[in-house]
Amino acid sequence: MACRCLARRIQLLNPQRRSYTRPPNAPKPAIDLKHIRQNPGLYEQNCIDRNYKHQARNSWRILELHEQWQEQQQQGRSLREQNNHLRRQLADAASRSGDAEGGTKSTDKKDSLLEEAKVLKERIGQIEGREAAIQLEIESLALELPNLSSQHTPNGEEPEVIGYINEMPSSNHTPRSHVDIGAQLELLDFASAATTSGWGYYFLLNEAALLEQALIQYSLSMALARRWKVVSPPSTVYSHIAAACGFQPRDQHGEQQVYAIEQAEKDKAKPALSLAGTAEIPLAGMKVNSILEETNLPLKVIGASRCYRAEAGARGVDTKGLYRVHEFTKVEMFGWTMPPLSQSTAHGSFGDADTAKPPSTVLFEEMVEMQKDILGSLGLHCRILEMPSTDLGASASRKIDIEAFFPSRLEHSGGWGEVTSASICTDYQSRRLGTRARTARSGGKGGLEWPHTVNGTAMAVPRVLAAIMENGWDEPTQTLAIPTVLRPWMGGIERVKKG
Amino acid sequence: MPSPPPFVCSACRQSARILRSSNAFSKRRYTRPTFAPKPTLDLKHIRQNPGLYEQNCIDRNYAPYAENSWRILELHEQVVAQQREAVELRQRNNVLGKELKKLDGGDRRASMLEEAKALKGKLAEFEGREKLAQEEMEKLALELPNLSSLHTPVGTEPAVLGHINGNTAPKGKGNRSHVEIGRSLDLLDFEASATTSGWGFYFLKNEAALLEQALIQYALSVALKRGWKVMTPPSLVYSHIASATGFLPRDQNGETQIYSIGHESLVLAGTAEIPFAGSQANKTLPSHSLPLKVIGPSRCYRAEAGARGVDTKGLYRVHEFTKVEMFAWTSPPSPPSSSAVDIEGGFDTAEEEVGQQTSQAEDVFDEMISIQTEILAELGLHARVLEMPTTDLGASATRKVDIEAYFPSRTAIDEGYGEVTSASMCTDYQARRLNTKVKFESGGAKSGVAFAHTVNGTAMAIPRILAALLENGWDEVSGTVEVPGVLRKWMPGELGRIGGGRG
Repeated sequence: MACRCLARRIQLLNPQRRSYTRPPNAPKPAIDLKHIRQNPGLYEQNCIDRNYKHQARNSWRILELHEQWQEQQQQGRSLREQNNHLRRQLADAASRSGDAEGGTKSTDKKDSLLEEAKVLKERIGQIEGREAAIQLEIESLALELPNLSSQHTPNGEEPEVIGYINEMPSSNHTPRSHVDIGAQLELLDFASAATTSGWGYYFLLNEAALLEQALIQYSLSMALARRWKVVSPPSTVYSHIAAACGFQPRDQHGEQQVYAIEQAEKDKAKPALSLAGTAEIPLAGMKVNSILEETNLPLKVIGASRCYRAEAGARGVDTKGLYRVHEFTKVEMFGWTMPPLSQSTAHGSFGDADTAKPPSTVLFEEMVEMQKDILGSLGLHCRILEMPSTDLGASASRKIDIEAFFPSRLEHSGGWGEVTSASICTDYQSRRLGTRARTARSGGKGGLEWPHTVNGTAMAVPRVLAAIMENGWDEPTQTLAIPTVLRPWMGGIERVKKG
Repeated sequence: MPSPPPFVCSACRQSARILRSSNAFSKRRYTRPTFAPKPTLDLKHIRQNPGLYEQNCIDRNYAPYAENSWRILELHEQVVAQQREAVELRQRNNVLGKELKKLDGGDRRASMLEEAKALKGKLAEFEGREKLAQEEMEKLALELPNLSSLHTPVGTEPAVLGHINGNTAPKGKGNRSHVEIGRSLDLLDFEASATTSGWGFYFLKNEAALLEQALIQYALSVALKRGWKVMTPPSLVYSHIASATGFLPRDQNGETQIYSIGHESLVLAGTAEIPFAGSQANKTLPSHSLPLKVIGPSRCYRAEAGARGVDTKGLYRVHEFTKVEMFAWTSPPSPPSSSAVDIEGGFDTAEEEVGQQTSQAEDVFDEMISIQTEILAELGLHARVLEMPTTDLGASATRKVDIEAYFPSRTAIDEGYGEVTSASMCTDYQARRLNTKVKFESGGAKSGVAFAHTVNGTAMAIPRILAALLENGWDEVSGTVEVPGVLRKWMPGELGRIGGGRG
């Protein structure tokens, strides 16, 4: 019992420690260790700013370990020189042992040389072992570090409101929650889902089920009009792919976030599988160990998928109804772009006069525009937030969230609830997934760079559905208005009423 | 000195032996959580027809469970015999009790107290054994598959009931597989999915991804216009709900077909049939609300263990896919005798009578097949309709009709036909395990409470239909695929053709 308590504490202290090993065919990460060694203070501060306290000393440790490694390298070099010298001596001894004069004296000399060679070989082996262990630890520490933050990202915990969509709705009645509306109009069934699956699941009924399809079709059509490519990805992914994208099985607080699929006994040797919490994972995974051609960048894809989130530790009054669920449909945007010209603007944290916007920022802004278009045309009142460093997670360098207004949640955080997110991940994911870009500027045939990846929510069905229900509710007629833009996919229905 | 081992009486040792031997085929001992619906099985019918259930197991390729019904009969007889003995013991106990009241002390009293104590112990032992026997009988009964309908051919050969879009396979379709078509038109990516997820997964790209959405909406529209209600279920369900619906952790061959989630009692449903059936667990439905007919899309997951091979390339057999499923709860047909429906008895002898009015379940079953036929006909696919044989029915179905579409690239395998839809009648198999009841109004032709009859059917299984559309719609000359007319209004820009000079 005491041991289990201790083990759990250790696990909580090191929530980011990898609890699995990377399978042999997994992409090999290529972290920019030189940059970390040259800027340990930057990475330390970044960890503190992002609330990654346990990783704050990693960069310094990496520096230390690198110096140890260099020492080992030096020792190894000198030992190898000695070894070479010995070998030459042995060769001489061997040729001389043929002389009648040599006798026991030269055999003795040869034996002692052999002895020395054996000892040297052992010591060299030990040094090589230590070098490998040091490299492994350096890589492990480096992999734990979150991405650096962009210049736009406010430090700390407070997001910055940078805009609004539509007007605050006026109403002269007590707001109804989507749970009530869903019960009254026979649109949502939580009780039956509690029977089949437990808390955090739901059945969408009648017009709500049709609205889900309409929302998917609508968001896809918005992207198609802007020449995005539609993809339908799997929800089942290798756990190592999810981890490489920045999704660890447990979050910074040690809470389970990802559902793992149990391996059958006979499959225990195969890489582990999980359910993706976002299509970002399989979409990013499409280009693992691939080389993208510059002419195809930016590569922009959008896809609908079923998403699964364990959300352990998230249950409470704050999370009733559709607001926080374990399973839902989401349409996700993902893009690969050229990296910016210089390293300094790669992270944007200490760039100076780089007038051209990095391609990743251009794509990021396009995504946010699309999100604003979609949410605005659905008639929702929203606010746009530049997210602070503590909210960015592992892979994002910059994040913008859009929160919709939920009349029933006025008492919680003023009624605001996140409905979309957009992130620039710079080269964090591409370095871990082995995605390269062949660019003209880096020497044509041989020149490969790390592309930047960008991702954003086009449509998270449950929350947008809940927002539509609460905002479209008409108390006098006891009906729900269907947003005009969705009606083509709803068979023309304008209002949902009981019965 | 070490303590002696605990005493185990011979009866308990025998019970333990019974329990151990019956676990020979299932490695994992499955336990039902306390909040799960409690099954109510028709043990009386099993005891009265053990030969029928034995033959049924053999017919269905459930040989390991063929002795279950006989075993249940045996156990029941042991229980009955024990109960008779218990009656005698209790009588003796009562007599003793009366005698003891008269006596005040002495040797006679002491020996009587001894006897009474021994009797009490024996009765407790009997109770324990009876409980174990009841549990064992229930477990054996739960393993039995449903009985088969009169329509169902015995054995392994299905019977052809009819065709859709012509009586024979269309000529001149070439034999290009959907995998090649998908590659040449940038519609399918199996390499990317091999990297992200392994074998049996896929990315649909461009028009194929759009076709998926169009097919879902089209299938829903066909049922909606017939008054079906749309319901979108979760894919993650409790494992006891999956079992109660007929999807046991291991199939007849001991293979795992269901994915489990680590650290949870959840599994990934292989079909929306599971969450649909589970949604009415522990509920009593008023008969006037039946038939309750729902249709909904969901993401389905199947381990498909033991199924990998050349026969299963591309989209033909995959681990994860979207499917639109139909499910219905119907009023059970009344037994010919009484006005009060007895829960314990009454297998549907009503169905066996020729000229009998069709049951509600049969009507819904026929309607499902009608919807499936309409969809496949309108999609322009040639298909054949099959009455499935006993070995193909699985655990819950009493009757199953499959429709197989024609795949030009598969003419070497089974003449090119591959299953695209299935429809099953499950009588009260699922309802008894999920405790879904039907209440009849008093004063009507029927009264009382009975178990619902459930029916389920595929409206649209995306991967195979997509594969069939690609292979059948392929035009070798232009290198394009024609989009069926009914789908165009669901495609952006009413797209009519995939490939051939797209921008």
